[in-house]
Order: sequence, then structure tokens, then C-alpha cells
Amino acid sequence: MNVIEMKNISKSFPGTKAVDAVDFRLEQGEILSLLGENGAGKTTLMKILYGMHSMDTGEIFFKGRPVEIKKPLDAINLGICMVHQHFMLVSAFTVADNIIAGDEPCKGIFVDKKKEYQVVKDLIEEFHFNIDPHAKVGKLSVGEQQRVEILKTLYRKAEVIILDEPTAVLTPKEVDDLFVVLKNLRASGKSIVIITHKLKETKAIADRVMVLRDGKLIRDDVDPAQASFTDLSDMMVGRHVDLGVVERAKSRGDVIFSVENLTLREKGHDVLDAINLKLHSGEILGIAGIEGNGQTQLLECITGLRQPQSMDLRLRGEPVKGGPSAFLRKGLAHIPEDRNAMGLVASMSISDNLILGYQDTPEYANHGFLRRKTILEQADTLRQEFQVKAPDSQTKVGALSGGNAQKVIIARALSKKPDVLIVAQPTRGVDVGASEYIRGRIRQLRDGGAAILLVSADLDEVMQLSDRIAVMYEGKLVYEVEADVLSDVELGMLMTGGSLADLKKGKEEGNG
Amino acid sequence: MIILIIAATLRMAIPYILASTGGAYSVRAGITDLGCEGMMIGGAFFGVLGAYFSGSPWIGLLCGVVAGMVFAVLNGILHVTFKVNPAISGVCVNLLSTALAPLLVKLVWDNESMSPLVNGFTSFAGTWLEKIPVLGEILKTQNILFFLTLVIVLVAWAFLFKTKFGLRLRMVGEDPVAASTVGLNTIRYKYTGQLVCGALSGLAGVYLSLGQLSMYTEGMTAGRGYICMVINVIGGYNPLGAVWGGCFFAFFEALRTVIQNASINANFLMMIPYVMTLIAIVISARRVLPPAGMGKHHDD
Amino acid sequence: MANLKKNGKAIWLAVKTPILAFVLALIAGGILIAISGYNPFWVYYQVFALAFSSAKNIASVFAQATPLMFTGVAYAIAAKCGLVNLGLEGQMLSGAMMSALLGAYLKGLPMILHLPICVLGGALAGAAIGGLTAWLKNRFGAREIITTVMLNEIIALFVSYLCNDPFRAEGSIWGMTETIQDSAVIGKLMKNTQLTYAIFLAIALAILLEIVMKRSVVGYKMQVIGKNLRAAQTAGIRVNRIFLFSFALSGALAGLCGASMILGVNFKFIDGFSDNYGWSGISVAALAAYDPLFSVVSAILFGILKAGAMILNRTSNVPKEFVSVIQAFVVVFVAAPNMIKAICSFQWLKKRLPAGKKQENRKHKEAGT
Repeated sequence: MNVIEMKNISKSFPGTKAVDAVDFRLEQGEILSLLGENGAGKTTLMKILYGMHSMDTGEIFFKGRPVEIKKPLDAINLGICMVHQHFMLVSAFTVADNIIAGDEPCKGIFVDKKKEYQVVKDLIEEFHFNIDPHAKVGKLSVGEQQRVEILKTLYRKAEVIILDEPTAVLTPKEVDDLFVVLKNLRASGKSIVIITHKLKETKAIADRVMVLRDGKLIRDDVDPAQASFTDLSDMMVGRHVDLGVVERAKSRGDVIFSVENLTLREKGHDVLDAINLKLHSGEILGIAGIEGNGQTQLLECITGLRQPQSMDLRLRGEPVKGGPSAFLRKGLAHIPEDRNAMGLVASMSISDNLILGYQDTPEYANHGFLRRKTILEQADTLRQEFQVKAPDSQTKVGALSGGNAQKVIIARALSKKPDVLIVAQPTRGVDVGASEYIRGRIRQLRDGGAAILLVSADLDEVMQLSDRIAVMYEGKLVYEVEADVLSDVELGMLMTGGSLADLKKGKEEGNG
Repeated sequence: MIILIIAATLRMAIPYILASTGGAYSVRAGITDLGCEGMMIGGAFFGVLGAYFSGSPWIGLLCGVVAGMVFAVLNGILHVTFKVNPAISGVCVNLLSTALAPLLVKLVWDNESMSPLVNGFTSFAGTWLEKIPVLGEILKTQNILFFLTLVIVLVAWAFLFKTKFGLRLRMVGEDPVAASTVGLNTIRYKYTGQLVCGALSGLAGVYLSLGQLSMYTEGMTAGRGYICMVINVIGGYNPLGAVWGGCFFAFFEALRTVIQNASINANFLMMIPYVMTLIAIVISARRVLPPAGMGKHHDD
Repeated sequence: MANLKKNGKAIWLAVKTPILAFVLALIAGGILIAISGYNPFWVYYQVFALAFSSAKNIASVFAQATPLMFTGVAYAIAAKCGLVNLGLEGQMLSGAMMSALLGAYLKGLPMILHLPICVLGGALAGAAIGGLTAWLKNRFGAREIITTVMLNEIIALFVSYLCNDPFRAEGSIWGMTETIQDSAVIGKLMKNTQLTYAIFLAIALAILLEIVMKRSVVGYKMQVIGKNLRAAQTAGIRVNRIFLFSFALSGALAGLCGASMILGVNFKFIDGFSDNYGWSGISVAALAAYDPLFSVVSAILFGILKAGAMILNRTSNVPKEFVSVIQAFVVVFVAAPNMIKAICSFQWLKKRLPAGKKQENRKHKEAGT
């Protein structure tokens, strides 16, 4: 029996169609894996079900009858609960307070503390969770916090539990524990949806797999026992027929940039674990990986935004230390991953944005005053050279399209002829034409002898641009290989925590 | 002498305690309590206005409380509904009420800076309370608002930390997004926090005007609303903390009035608590944190 | 021509909110005046007409505007990089006290030395307090909203102590310091008015800071920080240094406000002399959209209201106090541009309507009115 059916669900955000006419069903007592890449629309679809997003079109049926879910409370009242990727917990509250808030056991207007702790304790014992209900949530480990979130849903007598990337922040041991919990829940009749992009886990826990790609439903009846890793990865990533222009490095020079033994600890676990990197001049090293595996932290450390516990970073053998401005001055240019939040000031003009970070250089500054004329002239030149489509250089960057805004950042970084370029998500939210152009410019810089580190969640892009590829998974560089050696499927496997051996096994199964 | 100081301290502490308690509700709901000063002025003025026209201090009290709430709603409209920076919205409230009160004083009484005497709350002097040994000495300078304050603080504390409403209000302040995912209407809770803040700050103002002088004079709040913001920081945004913090500042204020002829200058004396708290706040700035969701909205 | 039209449109967009806010504030104030039993049109007409009715009255307008220029620019400078300087009042008082003491006790200097020392002393005292606030923020993470308010109280008490106790003028009943030396007096621009040469200093500084904001590297950095803190950090801008610079500069300007009042108008520090100059600065800067040069204009606007109302108050019984109410309304409306939008469109506009719809709306409104 279907507990939930969603029919023809669509949802658009400005500029993107996040969910496109998707049908969804969830059967009583199953664990469904909702599989897809980042941005495939998984979370949006589930947030619609939970009442956090409104849908543009579509209908929702709960146990066969149509329901309207306009806010989370509607969903909760139906017995649909969601554990968000970013936990919705109040650190300053105790475990029990977090669990009951919003639906408190009361004596008159007072919260019945005795009952509260009794109920929570019973619940914890029933599911063998081993958490102290009196502990402050801020003091718990991530795995324990997740259990508090699950307790929240159980306390609300949820019949349907949606978990958004539940394993993203857990250690392998905690993942195993979670799966035991989920199996227990299934045994007690709950229906569970897991939003994930990890194949291994999908195969380990799911009864059925539903695959979304680019907001569209690909399949919703995959049997994880039958499907191989290759099959799943194919469905999820899709066949990439055309990689566009491919031009590998012609001449690779010496190592000019190296990072050794980079370790970053965050809240007790290693977000970056002994990373070693070497960049040769005239090559692009691409870091492939699903987002959230430490790429952001890596970028922050090697651009001076963050001081890791240990790191030996050298440019042409010279150690580089200090803040971002020291890094910039030494010739390490940076194209940040979040264009609008980190790279640009939307309410300032193109010309003002073109000098951001370089405002102190003699080229732009003279005795503490900006060389307005030079800046404007150069802005006009760069605007034309980098094909930024805007009426003039005084146009506010906020008024530009994503592609043109990104070209402003590219122009800023590239025009300084950096020795090393660290570039993250260069074409995210950028239209095809501009993307191709941006990639061309990056290649051009490489051919001029710069060393480039590319971090991108877009596997196509990594494969197309890189001369060498390193795969990042859970804070480690797990694999490093020359370009054109591995296929997208093989890389996808490595990115999702599998190994090439798994793939072989999968192929043999397929053949046999 | 000691009893005199204790009595004066308790008297002076009441407006601090009331407004800080109100401020605690505002902060706990995630909104800076910068507007307390303005709400207090509103309470002090409209309290006298109400008493002036009705002849009853109780009607005056009601007017003062409502006036405080009106200013609180203004803060709510600006910050909660229109998402103005909470510091600016608080300044708006303060500017408006500091400007309105003198205008109305002028319009109603045609006076530059003060109202005529009205019927205020009378002290317990001469009642049976005065006859209680030792305690009577302290009580005789208090009035009914003293007991009202005690009740309010306890109720406010219990309400904030023991009831489901309080739990939810605190959750909204700590994390409005999380609160909305468990089905809470965060806007409603934020407005409620503001209303409580306005009512209690208004009452604090009423105490200053009707409870002590039985009249309104310009500048009578003397920045007490700002001090309440500070008391809340050191008192942990807790009504009980407000009692201690209020008494701390009131103690020095009492010393100032009691030691009139001392060699030490009164203003200099008054600086001591401020400097001490400033140091305390600075040192604890990274450790004692306001609710994590300060100034945030559920749809951020 | 097209360029001109475009520039015109850009300017209109920039000044639209402040103008609407000012008009709305006048309307709100007008309602209040009407409730009080006066004809708001008559009152407003009188205020503006009287303010310009004689040379002396015009001088009075600019005299009222002078302190507001200083504090307005002061608030604007801090606001440019996202800081909320609620400590203007304290910084102003410390500057006033410093210049009063320097003016009274530094004897035997020629004016050419004495006056600049007093002015500079006032600026430095304000800058010290502002700098202290920034240091507490940078070093300890203390929020400037709390610390500025605390410092205001501390300074108010301290200067009150100073002028009542150690530096009290002999024989005076009210707390005040000795009168300053003649060599420290800022000259009057017009006899028997309060208009002094300080206004030139205020305007010159506003122009200078306008240039600094628009043309200098520091000004550029301040703007980046104010508009996108994270981008500033990513670009390697040393945010803490800029905070310190900006807060100290803001404090210096507030200190100058105090100095100008002492050295030009009062000639001594009188306890409680401030007419809320510090807090008014917030209104002035808000109306000017936190732009130094516009702050001068908005200070003059408030000066007109203030002076006009004071003059009107002499000849009629219309209270002059409604000016500060209007001033407060201005901040309320300027602070919430969304509210203005909501008020002007008569509906709760949560999202931006598509351009077509907006036009329709406007037509609709025009038809309605």
C-alpha cells in the first residue's frame, strides 16, 4: 500500500526548475532511497512534502486521500516528519526539551517536566539509543544529535520519516549504528525516505531506489539488490556524451605549488586528513568529488582564509603564510566557490569589483587614492576582452546574469597573470556559452605557464578541463590519476566512496 | 543607615528589574532590547497622562503599560515584519518616544519639561506594614508596585522557563528556522516577546513617574532602559538575573542619594557599576552569548 | 541625452526613498499637528517661510544645522562599513569636555595655536572613545551596540563629575567649567547669532570624507566591508583595521561637534548642554542614506525645521517639540524602505512584482487618487 503518493509535482525557483513533473510514491514499511546528484531536486521534493516549500503544481495523497500540506505542522499532524541535513536542534536546550518542543506534555500551562523526561527516557530505551535526556544538545556528538532528531520524529509518532543526507556527517561506525536504527524502525512499520547520493549506502539499506536527475524522475522502481553500482551511477550522473572542447596540457613544467600534510580538525573530527597536493606549471589539476567532502575547507586553507592545524604550503619552494592578502600578493589568485557571497559585491559597479583584493597595488592606488581613470580604462578593456555583457563598466554587478558576473571574477583573477590559480565551481549557474568561454580562458592561462587547481562538483567539468584528476572523499584525496584514464562511471564510483574493485565486481555480475 | 540604603536600593531596583525582565522576553525571542528606553519613557509619560485625566493611578498604570506595548509593536513592525536591523528599529522607538513625550507635555500642560502633580501610588508609610519590626523600616518607603514587581518577576520567570509557551518562545529566539520546522509560528512568538517587553518596560516607566514622583519630568528615565539592556547581558536574559543586576545598579544609585554630603562625588560614584559591568561584558563577550538566533527570521 | 536621462533615473532611484520618507514623516507630523489643534499646512508654511524670512533667521537655520552636520557625517562614516555607532552622544561629550578644558586652562597661547589645539583636542577625545569601542569589538568580540551605550552612560557621568567637582567654575551653582580663553573662541559668522565658522569646518570635512569614501582605497575598503563582509574577508581586506579607523573617525567627528558647540556657542562646558546632538545624527545620516555630503543637506533640512519651529514658537504657541517627532518619523520611514513601498502601494508587497504589473499598479494608483 502506498502511504504517500505525490503526483505531477513541479517547483520552480527563480532561474531554475528544481522539480519537474515528478511522481513519487512511498510504500508502507519500506526504506526508499531517493538518489541523485546535488541539485537534482531531491531535497526540494521532500521539503514540498514536509510543507517547507510550496509546489507550483501537483497533488499529494496520504494513504489514498488527497491532502493539503501548507506548513510543516500540517505534515507533522499527518505523521510525516523530516530530519534535515542541517539539524534543526537548539544547542542550548537539553535533549528532552529539543524533542518535546512544539508538542509538549503539559500540566495546565506548565510543561510537565516529570512526564517529559519519563516519555523521552522510555523512547530512548525502546530504541536502544543510549543518550542522556538531560544533556545539552550542543555537547553531543554529531551522531548523537542525529539520534535526537530521529527521536523528535518518533516522539511525534511519525509514520513517515524523511532523512536528508543522514550519513553526510557521520563516521563509518555511526553510519552502521544508524542503519541498525533504521532497520528497527522499518520493522516497527515506519516508512522511511533517505535522500542520498551515496551508492554504497543505498545498496546497503534501501528496499527500493528512486533516481532523480536535473529535477526529473529517471526511475522509481530500481531494486538495489539487482542493480549494480554501474547502473545506479549511470542513472544518477547520466551518460555524458559530449564533453565539449578537450585540450590537454602541451608542456608541463616543474612543480611550482605544493601543499603538504594539510590537516584540519573541526569539532573533533578531521575534515581534512593529511592532504598532499602538487601543481606543475602549465597543468590543471582537477579535484572531483561530491560536495561536502572537505572541498570548501581545502579551498579556505590554501587561500589563507583559514588556519589549519598543520599545513606546509609552498610557492616555488618558498613557504607562504598569513591571510588572504598575503596569498594574493604572492601571485596566488582565487576564484571563490560562492560567487555572490564571497567573490563579488553586488551593489558595487563592475569596475569596483574588478579591483577587489588588488585595491592596494600600485597599479590601482596612488598615495592611498584610487587611480580612478586607470581603473575605469582597464575595466572597459577587461569588460570587452572577457566579453562581459553590460552597458558600461559602471553597471552594478548585481544586475548582471550569472555568467557575466562570473566573467567579472575571472577577468579580475586572470588579468593579474597569476602563477597559481585556485578556482572553484567556475561555471556554476552559468549558461553553456559563457561556461565554454570561461573554460577556454582557464586553459589559456594554463598554456601561459600557470598552475591551476580546479575544484568542481560538476564531474563533466573536471573531466573536460583537467590534465590530472584527484578524487576527494570524506576529507581525503583517495585517488589521483592522469586525465582520460578513468571513465565518468569509474570516477563517480570513487566519488561516492566505492572502489574500482566494486566496479569490476559489478561488471562481472552484469556479464554473468 | 544600612536599612536606609537597603530600602533605597530596593526602591531604585524596581524599574530596572521590571524593564530588564521585559527585555529578557524580547531577547529570548531573538530581538535586541534596545527599545526598552523608549518604551519606558512612553510608560512614564502616558502613566501620568492617564492618572491626570482619570485621577486614578491604576488607570494611569494601564495607560502606561499600553503605551509601552504600542511602542513595542512599532519595534515589531519594523524588525519582525519589515526586517529592519534590530539596532535601528530600537533607535527608532527611542527617538520617537523621546520626541513625543516633550511635545505632549507641552500640548497638554503647556509646560517645558514637567507635568503637574497627579495622584500617584502612595507608600506604605502609616499602614500596618510599617509596624513590622526591621522590615517595616524598609517597607514604609515602598508602595504596592513593589509587591506587584515581586509577583511579576516570579511569574515571568516561571512562564519563561516552566511553561510550554516559554519553551517555544525561547526556541524561536534560539533558532527560528528550527522552531518553524516543528510547526511554530515564529512571527507570533516574536511579537508576543515584544509585547511583554513593552508592557513591563511601560510598567517600569509608570513606577518612575507614578510610583516615585507622582509626576512626569523630562529625562526622568535617565538612560535606565539602556542599563536594562546591559543588565540582561550580565543577568543571562533571565528575570531572576534581572533582580540581581537591577539591585547592583540600584545599590550605587541608592548610595548616591544617601551619601549626599560625602567627599566623593555622586556622579563619580555612579560610574563604578558602569565601568565594572563594561569590563565584565567585554571579558565575557565571547563566552556569554545571547540566543543563537538573535535578529534572525524564520525564512532567512 | 540618453545618458542624461539614465543618470537622472539613477539619481531619482537613489533619492526616492529619502524623499518619500521625508514626505511621509511630514504627513505623519502633520497629522499630529492637526490633532493638537493647529492647521498643519499653516504651520509648515510658517516654519519654512519664517526660516528664510531674514538674514538672521537664515543664519539661525545654519547654526542649528552645524552640530547635526558633524554627528550626521559621523554616523554615516561608521554606517558605511556596517557599524552601528550609538555612542555619538558620549563621543560628542568627551570632545566637548576636552576642548572646554583646553580652552580654559591652556593660557598664554596665540589664537593661531590655541584654537587648533582645542579643536584637535576635541576631535582626538572623540576618536579615542570611538577607537576604544572598535578595539573592544575587535579584540574581545564585544558588540558595539552594548559597549557604545555603556560608554555613553559612563562618559555622561564622568563629564558631569568633572564640571561639577574638580573643574567647576568658581561661584557657579549649576555644574559648568570656567569660560574659555578668548584665544580659543571660534569666530561668529554673523553678529548676535549662533552661526560660527565651525560650519565651514563641517562642510569641508563632509566634502573631504565624500572624496575619501568615493576615491580613496580606505573608502573603497569600507564600502566593500559594509556591503559584503564575507567578500571583503575573502579579498584579504583587514576588516579589524578598517573598523578601528572608521570608528575612530566617526568618534572624531562627534568630538568635533562637541568642540564646535563649546568653542563657538557656549564658551564653557555646561552640564547637560547637549540637545541630543548625538542621537539626532542618526536621523540626519539615515535621511542622507549614509552619505557624507548628503548628510550636510539633510542636516540643513532639519536645521530649517528646527530653526523655523523655534522662531514660530516665539510668535505663536505652536510647540517647537514636534520637530524632533518629525525627525524620528523620518528614521522610522527611512529605515524600512519596504514599509514605504507597502504604504505607497497600499498592499503588502512581499515580492517584487514583474515590471509590467508594477506599471499597472502605478496607473491604478494614479487613477485611484
